[in-house]
Formats: sequence, C-alpha cells, structure tokens
Amino acid sequence: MACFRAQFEGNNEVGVFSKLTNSYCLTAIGQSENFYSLFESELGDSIPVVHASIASCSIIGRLCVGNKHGLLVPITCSDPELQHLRNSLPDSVKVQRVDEKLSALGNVICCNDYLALAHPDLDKETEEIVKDTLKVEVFRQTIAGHPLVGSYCQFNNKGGLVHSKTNKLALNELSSLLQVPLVAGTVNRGSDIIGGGLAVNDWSAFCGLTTTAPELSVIEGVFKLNVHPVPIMGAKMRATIVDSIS
Amino acid sequence: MASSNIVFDSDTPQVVQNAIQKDIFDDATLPTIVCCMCGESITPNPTSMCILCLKAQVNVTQSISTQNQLQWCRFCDRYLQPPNSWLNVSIESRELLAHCLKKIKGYGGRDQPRLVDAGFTWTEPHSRRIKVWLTLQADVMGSILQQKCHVEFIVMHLICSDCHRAETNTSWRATVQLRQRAVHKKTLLYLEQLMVKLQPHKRVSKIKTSPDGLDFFFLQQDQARKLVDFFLEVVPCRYKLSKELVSHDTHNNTYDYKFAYAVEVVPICKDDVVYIPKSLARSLGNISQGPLICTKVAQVIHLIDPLSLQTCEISSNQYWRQPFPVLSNPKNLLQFLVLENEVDLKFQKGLVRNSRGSGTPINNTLSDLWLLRMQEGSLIGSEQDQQIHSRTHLGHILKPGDCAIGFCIKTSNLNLSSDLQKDFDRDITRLPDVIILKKYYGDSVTRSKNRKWELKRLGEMETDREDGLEEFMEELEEDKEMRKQVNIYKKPYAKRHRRKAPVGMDINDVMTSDSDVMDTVDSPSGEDQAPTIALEEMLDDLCLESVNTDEN
Repeated sequence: MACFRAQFEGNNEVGVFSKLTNSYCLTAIGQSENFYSLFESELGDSIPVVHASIASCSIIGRLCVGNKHGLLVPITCSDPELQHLRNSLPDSVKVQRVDEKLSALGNVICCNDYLALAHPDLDKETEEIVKDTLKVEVFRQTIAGHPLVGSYCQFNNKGGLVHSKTNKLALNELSSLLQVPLVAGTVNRGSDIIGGGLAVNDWSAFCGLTTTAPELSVIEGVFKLNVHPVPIMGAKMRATIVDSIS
Repeated sequence: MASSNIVFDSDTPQVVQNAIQKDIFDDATLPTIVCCMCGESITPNPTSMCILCLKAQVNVTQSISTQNQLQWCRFCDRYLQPPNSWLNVSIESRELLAHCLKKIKGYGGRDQPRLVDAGFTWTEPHSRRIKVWLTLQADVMGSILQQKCHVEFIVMHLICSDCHRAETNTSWRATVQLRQRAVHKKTLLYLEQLMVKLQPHKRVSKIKTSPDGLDFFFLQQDQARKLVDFFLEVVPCRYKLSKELVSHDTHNNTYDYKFAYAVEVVPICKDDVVYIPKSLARSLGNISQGPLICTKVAQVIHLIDPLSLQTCEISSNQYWRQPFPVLSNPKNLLQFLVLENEVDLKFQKGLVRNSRGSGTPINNTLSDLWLLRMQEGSLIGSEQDQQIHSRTHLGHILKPGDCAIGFCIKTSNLNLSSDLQKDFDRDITRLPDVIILKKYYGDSVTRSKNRKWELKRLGEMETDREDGLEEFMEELEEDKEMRKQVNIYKKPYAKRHRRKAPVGMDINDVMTSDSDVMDTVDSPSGEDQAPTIALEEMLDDLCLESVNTDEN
C-alpha cells in the first residue's frame, strides 16, 4: 500500500498540515511526532521530510504551494522560516516569497510538476512567478463552481481527484487541460475538500484517518500508486473509474 | 437509485432533496462517484453516501420521545391539557391529534427534525393506547432526509375535578328543589315533559326524585338560577332561596355558601274544581266564586265557570297572594251515565258571545244534563228516582249514552276555611249536585295496553314511580294543544308486544303494527273509541341497545 491514513493532533485534514511533492515533504510542527514520523518512515528514504511553519502557523499545506521545482510561500512567512526552508530543502528547489492578496496559496493554486490550476482572481504577477518558479503552465479554472481550486482538487503527474460535484463536461475539460485522467471523488468519509484531506505525490498518498476503504481504492487507482489494481476493488467500482477516465 | 425519491411510508430515512446542487446541475451531467461507505456507484450528494449507507448511519427520529402519556377522565371523556384545562375531543379526531402532537417532544426546534405529516394508527379502544405516526424531515449534511416513526401514548385515568366534585356527595353548590304539594301532580309531570323537550337543565350534575317532586343539583349557583327562571316562565310557581355557610375566610372577606332554591308549583292541576275567595272573584270580572274548573295550567291558571261559561286566568302572583283550596280529590270522582243532553242554544261552541257579533267565539257549549250514577260499569238505583240534574260546559262533547266523570259537591267533605265556607253555604242553593269534569273514555288498563307511545322521564328510573303518569298520558291523548309542548316517543316494538310477541320477528311485523296505528287514527272513531295519538306526532327514540339484549 502506498496510501496511508494519518491524523494531525486529532485532525483528519492531512493536506492542511503537510505539503508533499516529488522532491520534498513539509510537515507542520505539532505537539506529538506521530504525524511527522509516519511521513519520515514512509518517505525518509527518498526525499527530505522537514518540519516547517509559515507565519508561525501549522496550516502550511494551505499557505504554500510547490512542486519538485520550487516552493512558493506567502508574504507573511518570516525570514527565519524562509531561511529554514531554504536550508532544509534540496538545492534544486527554488523557494520564493510571493506578495499576493490571496495569501493562502495552497487553496488558490494546485499543481503538479508540469501544470497548475489557479484561482481566477489571482494576481498577474503571481501567475508569472508561479510560471517561473514552479516551471509550470498556469490555467485559471474553477472546480464545480468553486474558485478555490487548491482546496477542491488534488493531482499528481499521473492522475487527479476532484470535487464530487464536478460535472462531466468540466471533468473532461480539466482532464484534457491537465493531460491526466481525473476522477470525481471524496476523502475522509464523504468530504469534498480533496486538497485539504489529501496529500499526494507520484508514489505515495496520505489521507485522513476516517477515509474509508472504497475511498482509498479510488485514490490508489486514480493516482496510480499501485502498479496492479487492488484486487478488493469491485468490478462495478472499476467500471465507474474507467467510465470517468475515458 | 434516484436521490430525490420521496417515500412516505418508510421507517428508514429517505433522501428527499439534494439541496445544494439541485438547481445548478441536473443529474445527467453529474459524474458517478463511489459511495464512501460501500463503494456503490452513485450520483453525488452532500453526504457522498448511497441510500442504504445513509439509512444505516442516520436516524432522523432519535430526538423524538416515543412513549408518552395522556391523562383522560373516563366519566366525562375528556383529556387533560396541562396545567388544568380539559379538552372534549373524540378519538382519532384532528383535535386529539393536535393535542398529541403538542405532547411529543423533540421536533420542530433548532437542530431538530421538521414535522411533515402525522396521523393515527388504529388501536383497540380497550388497549388504552393511542398510536400516532409522524413523518419527519431533517437536514443531514446538506440533504433532506425523511423518515416515519410511531409514537405511543398510554391513556392514563385521571378523574377531572368537575367529575370528582360531581361524584362525591357533598359536591354540589346549588340545588333546585321542585315540588308540587297536590294529590296528583299533573302540573309537575307536564313540567317534567317540558324539560325533556327543552333541556333547560343541561348543566345539571345530578337529578334525584323525591316523593313530592324532583331535586336538581348544580356545581354553580347561576346554573341553578337559570333553571329556576325557566320554571317561573312556564308554570305558575314561587321560589325561596336559602343558603348555608360552608366556609369563610375573615381575612379575605370571602364566604362560601351552598344555595337551595325551593320551587313550589301551584297545587292546582287540570280538571280540578276550585272555590276562589270573593275579592279575587271580583277582580276577575266578577266571576262567580265557584265551583270553577281548571282547564289548563300553563304560564297562568285557566279557570272556567261550568254554569256560565265565563273564563278567567289567574297568574302566579294572584294565586300566592290569596291561595285557594282544591275541592275535588281524584279519588272521590264518580262516574255518571248521560241520559239526556239539552244544549243551551245561546251558548254553543263557535258562537260569538256578545250580541253585536264581535269578540272571540266561545270554546264550549253550555248544556243541561240528566245523569245516572254508575259504579264499575253498572247503574246504581232505578232510572226514575235517582236521576240527577247538572249543568256543564262540555255540551259539545257529551252525548246521551256517554259516560262522564264528575264530582259531587253536596256530599263531599270540602274542608274550606271559615270565610270561604260562609260564601259557599250562601251559594249552595244555586249549585247543581254534580259538576261534570270530563268525558270517560274507558278504563285505563285497556287504554294503556293499546298505547303505542311512551314518555321519557327525568331522574333515576324506578319502574314503580307511580305518580299519576297514567292519567297524565290519557290527558295527553285527549288534549291536542298540550301534546304540542311535549315529546312523544314511539314505543319500541319489543316493548309493545312483550307479552304476546315471540322472540323471532321480522320487519314486516313492525310495518304492519305501525300501520295499525295509522288505521285507528284514520277510521272515524266509534262511540266509545278512546282518542289516540297519530303516528306523525311521535318521535323515534334513540335506542342504543340491540333488540336481542332488550328481549333478554
């Protein structure tokens, strides 16, 4: 299994308290090390797992956005925190501070290593910075009518999960835009806030403790975390996924 | 499975409406997602669960109190509405449902399900359980769930304060004691029948019979006062109010009394012979002092002088100012055979008395009668020496050969006061020996056997309440005017033919027996045919017991 259930101090919103990319992982600083040690044990061999805080907050997953090329933090991030990040992350990762009105960058931007979706009201300059730092193409989009694309979708280089109410047309459009298959789904026992409940990179995913087995199956299937399809996945469900992918 | 199904008779929750997304997207464009609990593919809803999982997860009705109690008074069939009012509602009525719904806790509030529909589930009445079903809707994670549930009410006995007071003997606050101190109480019977018809005693808590009349008990004084007012309006009577102090509080200056209205009806009945004081006679158009015959007791006493056909009316006030005695006693009345009837042509029924031809026509016919005394249907003495002469106001009714009931003045012991006795002694020479009161239609045993109607009584029914009811019923048969004031009920078939009818009978029997009644009315009555009451004047009594139990 490459999909893990985790909880940050009793909270199931894993994507809020962590930032997972293909070249690094940030986790929030909490009272207990359980959350960090899970990430460390699963990812420590391949990428650095770093304790971090932004503007003294633990909701780092919502405040910053990044991929294997870079990391963008809001203007509220203090100098020592920025310095800490720069020291901890690999040299190939560019860390950049962005002066953006919509300072919860994790909520307004969602990206993989090649493409990014952004809030329609995002600043032009920020968009440029995103393009330069993260080396991605930026599309301004909404997910199921919600402009907070970072909150309602999550995708890696192989697939993506979006808000369950995204209609089929929008789903196809997004899918062709991002060049990856997308599936409408939920995490944390029916929650539509995919970005908040899920942290994912190309080979592993972390979700809340309440996430059910069918949800896990969908996540593993769409993000291609397992080479072989999970045998417990029913034929009907597979049909659903195939239906959505095609 | 469509998420917008409304299923009303389900005990498990149903998703009624997918509130947020319904109007933005329709189902066709939505993707299928997997149910987060079981993996079933569904169209998205706010809970992201399929119906079955939602049913398993959510209980809309958990806040509802499923067992409640109702307090019910079995004496007056009312339900307690706290704190202390009582509802008169029938079972399975809207009002009872409203009352039950008020008792159920746990819906309609904030974060509580809404009530959509409710009704009764039938239960055996003797189970003392009332079952109410509710359909409730609740917002669960953005979608509206609908669920049906049952609430059981246990009907507890609780005697209401009114019944409690009525049941205990010392409960009444006011009583009306209706009395007539006469030998036979025809006026009282008439009054009783008036009450059966007009129901002026609706709020009475208890009716008791006493030898001279009836006692009515009330919880409030004004209810008793209302009944007394009714009596004062319909018959000549007077009342006396007395009160007894039950308790008092000197600090509050409050006094608690029991009230007793003693109502006395004038002791004069129809067909009584009276002798009135001189001053009263003068004030009534110089009518003779007597003997006068009472023709009717309604609001006033109607009297007629059988010798001159002069009539007068005596009001209650006039009577009580100068009470006068009744000369005749029903036990002393005698039977006479009419031998000859010489009608006085100047005083015939329908003629106008005054010479100018104006005024009201007279109601009676004055005539001279020649009578023979009878006893138990046979004559006493020979025709020649025992013939009695009398003058009567019944000349239009009596024919030679008829029997008549009369009162012998000269031989009776009258017990007059000294003033009246003096006047009477002066008058006695001009008086006939016998005063004829009415025609005799045959003995009361056969008349009562042929009777096809009955009357209702007030108070506890004792079958041996023999207080002149038979005579009163005969009087009703003879007097059409009086009949209009009372309710006459058809006697049930079983009761009529109790002696001779076998157990098995069919509807044809009933029909023929009813047509019997019609026949006797329609056919011209023979010489000694007693008057009967036509079927169209009778009412059907409401009889709640079945024929079989009646016969047993």
